[in-house]
Amino acid sequence: MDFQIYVGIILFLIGTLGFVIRRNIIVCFMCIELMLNSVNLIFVTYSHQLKSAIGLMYAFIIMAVAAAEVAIGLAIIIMIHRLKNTVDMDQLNILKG
Amino acid sequence: MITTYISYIFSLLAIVFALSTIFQRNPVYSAASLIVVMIALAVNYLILNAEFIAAIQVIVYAGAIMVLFVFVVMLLNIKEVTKKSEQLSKGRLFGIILSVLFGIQLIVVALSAKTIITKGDILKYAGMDSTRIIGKVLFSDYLLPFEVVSIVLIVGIIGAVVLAKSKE
Repeated sequence: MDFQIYVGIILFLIGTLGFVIRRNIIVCFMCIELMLNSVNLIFVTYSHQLKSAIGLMYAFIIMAVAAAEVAIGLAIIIMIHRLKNTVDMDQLNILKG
Repeated sequence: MITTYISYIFSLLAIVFALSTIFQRNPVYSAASLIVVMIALAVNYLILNAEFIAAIQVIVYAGAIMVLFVFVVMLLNIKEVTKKSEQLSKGRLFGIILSVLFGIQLIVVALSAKTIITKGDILKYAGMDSTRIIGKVLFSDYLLPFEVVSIVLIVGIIGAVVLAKSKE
């Protein structure tokens, strides 16, 4: 088994950990990007290992979806900053009953 | 095997700069570290015979997405998040424990995945380079997902414009 799969898992865990411990909403968003990248790495690695193009296909589609997601997510972050004048996730608690 | 050593070096680089991404105080440094992670992953894609994905990784991720990130960080001009907010609260400790458990689960799945996915019929490369076969598959078997992706991108463009537009 190629070792890049383990690199992908480690990167995914770093992304999860960063999403949990950081409160800055932009850095949390970067952690989501990191997780998407690690999943892409795992797809490409399995594609190489199994001599199949399906993994590359999925990596391609994930990248396109990630591009759309970043555009919308950053627009939402700009809106949040305009409304609340903060990007700290602990202060964004108006949904908390 | 020189490619193996290159792959080791760039994987290590990716992990180190991923840690740098989540531990930097300044979001601009986080974004810069994330660019290094993405380029290191692109090198890994090249070594794994996925030239097209490597090119797209550099163009889309390191080029477009990270420019958007840096642009938004600079636009918002955010102050450093206060020290008190970054301290370890009870909920965050719970989150760390949960992510560790999640990691154990991921490793178990990855170790047991080999026996599952080697079964079944798999499209072989058949002596073609990966770019050519992506094109063949993309416009034959996966035509519908390809078209749906274009709709997703249009929705992304319209959504970003509508959301970020000012009120008046």
